[in-house]
Amino acid sequence: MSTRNRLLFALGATLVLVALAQALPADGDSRGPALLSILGKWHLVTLHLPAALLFVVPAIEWLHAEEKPSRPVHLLTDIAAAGTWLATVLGILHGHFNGFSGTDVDRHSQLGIIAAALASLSWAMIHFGRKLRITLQCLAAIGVVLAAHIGGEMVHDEGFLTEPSKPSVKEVTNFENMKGFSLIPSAVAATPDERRQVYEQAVRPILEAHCTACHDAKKSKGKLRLDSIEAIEKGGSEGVGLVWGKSSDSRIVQRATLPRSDEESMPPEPKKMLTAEQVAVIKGWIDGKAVSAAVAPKVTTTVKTYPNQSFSTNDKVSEQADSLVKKLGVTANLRAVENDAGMIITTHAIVAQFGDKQLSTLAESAGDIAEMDLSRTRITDAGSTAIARFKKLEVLAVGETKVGDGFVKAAADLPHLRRLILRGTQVTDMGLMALSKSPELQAVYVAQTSCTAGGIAALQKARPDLKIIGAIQLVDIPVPPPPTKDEAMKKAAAAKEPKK
Amino acid sequence: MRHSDSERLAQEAVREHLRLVTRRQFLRNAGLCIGAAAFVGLRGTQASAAEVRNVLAARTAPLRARAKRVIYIHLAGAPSQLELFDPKPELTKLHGELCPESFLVGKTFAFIKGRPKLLGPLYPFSKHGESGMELSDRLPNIAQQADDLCLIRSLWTEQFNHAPAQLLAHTGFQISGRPSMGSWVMYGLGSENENLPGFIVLLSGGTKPDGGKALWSSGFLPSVYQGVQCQTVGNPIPYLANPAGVDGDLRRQALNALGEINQSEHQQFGDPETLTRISQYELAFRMQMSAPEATDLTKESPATLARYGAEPGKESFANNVLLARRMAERGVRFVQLYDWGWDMHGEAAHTDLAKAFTEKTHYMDKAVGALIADLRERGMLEDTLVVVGGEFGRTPMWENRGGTQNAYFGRDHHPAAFSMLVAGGGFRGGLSYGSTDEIGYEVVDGKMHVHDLQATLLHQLGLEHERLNYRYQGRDFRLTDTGGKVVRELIT
Repeated sequence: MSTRNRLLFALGATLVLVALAQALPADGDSRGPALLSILGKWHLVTLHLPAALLFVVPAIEWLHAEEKPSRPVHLLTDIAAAGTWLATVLGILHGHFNGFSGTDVDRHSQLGIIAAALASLSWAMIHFGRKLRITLQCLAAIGVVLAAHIGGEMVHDEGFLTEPSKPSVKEVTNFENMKGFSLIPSAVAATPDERRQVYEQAVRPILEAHCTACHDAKKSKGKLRLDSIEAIEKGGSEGVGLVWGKSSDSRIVQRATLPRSDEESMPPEPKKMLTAEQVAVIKGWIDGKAVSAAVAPKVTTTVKTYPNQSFSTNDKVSEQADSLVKKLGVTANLRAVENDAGMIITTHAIVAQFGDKQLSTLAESAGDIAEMDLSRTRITDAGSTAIARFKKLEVLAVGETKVGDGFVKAAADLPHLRRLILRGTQVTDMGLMALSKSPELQAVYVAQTSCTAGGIAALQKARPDLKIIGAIQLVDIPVPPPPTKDEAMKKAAAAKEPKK
Repeated sequence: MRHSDSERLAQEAVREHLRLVTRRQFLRNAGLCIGAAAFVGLRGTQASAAEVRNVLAARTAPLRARAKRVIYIHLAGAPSQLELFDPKPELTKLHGELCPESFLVGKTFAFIKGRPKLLGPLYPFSKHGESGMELSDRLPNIAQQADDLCLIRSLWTEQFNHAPAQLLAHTGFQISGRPSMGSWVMYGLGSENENLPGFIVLLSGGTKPDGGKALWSSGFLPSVYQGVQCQTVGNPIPYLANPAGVDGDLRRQALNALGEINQSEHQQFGDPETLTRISQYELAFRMQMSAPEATDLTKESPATLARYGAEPGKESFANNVLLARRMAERGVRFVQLYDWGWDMHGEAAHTDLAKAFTEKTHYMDKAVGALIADLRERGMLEDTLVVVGGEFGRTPMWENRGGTQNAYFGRDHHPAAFSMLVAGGGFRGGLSYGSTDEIGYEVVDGKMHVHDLQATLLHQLGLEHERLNYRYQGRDFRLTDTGGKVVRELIT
């Protein structure tokens, strides 16, 4: 066959493919006839032969450098081009008759046709010079790689070749995301906003782990996408995916709960079925029995497993603390955690670096801080103006610092202060008395200070409800010697006699 | 092990390896190829540095935390509850009588053979505080603070030998290999002072407890959470000082170089234990500065030393208790004390429930009494859990080792009923919880397994014992194994 005829033949074959793809689009409908459907499935088998040959041909050419193609190269090129064409035809049938749709499917189809065209081209131009010949052969190989890559990712998971297997990790993810939820029946159905919250936190992870590999924008088997609420509502070729409030009438629940023996059971074998717990979460979501999403975010963060654990439970707080450390100009880390009321600041690691200047810098964030332990730091009475700014403060420990009456007077005005630890400071009776006005104060600790028993009594009189803890005196009580055996017997005998 | 089991484990190991060889490594290798190594490498370094710090960073407790830290004083060998915590006047009357056969049927004892006699409590009990808590006269200092104490009289454990019972009490399982409570707490809450270990172990009594180092092991948790042994004689922390001829600068340089190597190791393989290694080196370096100050008992006033019965420079229980307070003050999350020598069988003079026991209780009562008072004065008792007790109880019977009554007063191991003290951290002060029968043989009211105590302690720290999980060898593990419930009656 002359090169011109070969080129015309190749062009014709490619045009057949384009026309076939136009006539038989992958639109998500599964349709008969059975023979064509089965034939389509053979795409998965037939594609491997030409794909391999398209690599072998340039390899032989490169290893066996000759200006003219050898007889085996001729034959292999024939088979590769024909095989690619056939595989592409079967692929188009597969997409059309077996219910595929989605952007990835379309791209796969287009790239497949291009690969077939390139394979035909390299077949047609086999009599050209060695360089051009090999270039074309390489292009065909690259074309088939690109097409096969998308196809492969559709069959296996995305990233199949570049990431380690992760079945167990996936299970863990679901487990964690579900653990924080409990189904609470409520008279009122969930609002769309609540539904969305539950979807994002509980339902989406389940669908992503078990369903969206075949049902998303990239690959939408049965025209069905399960990657957004809207898409699930819309459903696929069988109709709507769910009926709000009626989980048992919702197709996604029906299909997921069919017995394994049923062909319609989803996800298809060999993939695992959803667990009863997972189905319960989806049903609860559809039925609008608001899953307790309000408490969930806090709980979900606690179940993380190291090294999956991201330690992000208090990212916000750590960031705040980090920026505070920068502002304070200290070298060690300030430790901060959070409770319902706000941040808890401890300065254990930076006591020597923390003085009045740092306290006034810290006061810029006073609005966030509920508890502070500044024990043994270098703060003094000069920190009084700064401490007055901590309006949210509930617990303050300044034990064994140089603070005195001025500081205590300033602290006394803090509106929410409940506990004040002044042990080992320079506070006197005067400063102590200022605490009588402290509105919320419940306990104050004044051991090892200059406060006298009289001063403490005076404050106690002014504030009978206040717990004032001074030095605790333990009385030295001698311990009697242990009994001998005789004494033990006598004691027993004495115990047995009835009391008079 | 069945064939399929070993195959499964092998697969798991392979998968674990694959997981460690992360996408980051793939990207990094790809990056090298296309000449973008510098950028990827830079990002990798920053990420790991943050990770290193975050492993130990203080974390917000998931529940509202009543306690921030724990001082757990384990009296290893198990003190007699009948001589300290659980008054049994009926047993006084039965002193010297043969134990009824029905009590012995189907029971296993460590040493008791045949039919032992009953041993009446050796010391009188009296009521203390406004609550009227009954404690024995061996505990005068502790008793003065009865209204701050929560006394649990209805504990039981499954193990009647020291090592397994200690392991059960501290790791939630009778066989070694599980993480200890301190490690779990560190895993859940992190450390409050980056210059000191967050979990410190102090030993006294001349020898390690029977459970050994497994008692403060981090098990399968990253080893950054394991307990660090500390001492009041010589170097406060073993192996911390620089070797002769190496000064701080040289040490720093060496650590920097080592750190870089470890960082690149971590980027390549992503093994969390590499992070542990880096952070341990850095912690050790910082501790060289902070540990001497924290452990220096001479900084305490003579009055304080006298109150605890502490003598700087010696190895003693009192020193350890005082040290525990200094550590707790400095943000150490979990201080675990083990004091050996409470195993009063009465087979020899040093296990005599009369004289030897009184010597033990004397220094224990003094130091623990001082600790509770001290924490109270410092406003720390509110958020510090002080736990005092052994791994099991003692029998109401006078031990008859090998069938003949022991020469001294003594009792055998008894897992079915024992008592423990908890002070602070939101435990109900002045509460005497639960009760045993008339001779203290079985719990009759408020029966509480050691897992229940663990669950309740974790709860006070803001941790849910059922959720503080770690996945290992294919399943989630927790401190309380498959049991444990929070005993709400104990807490306010």
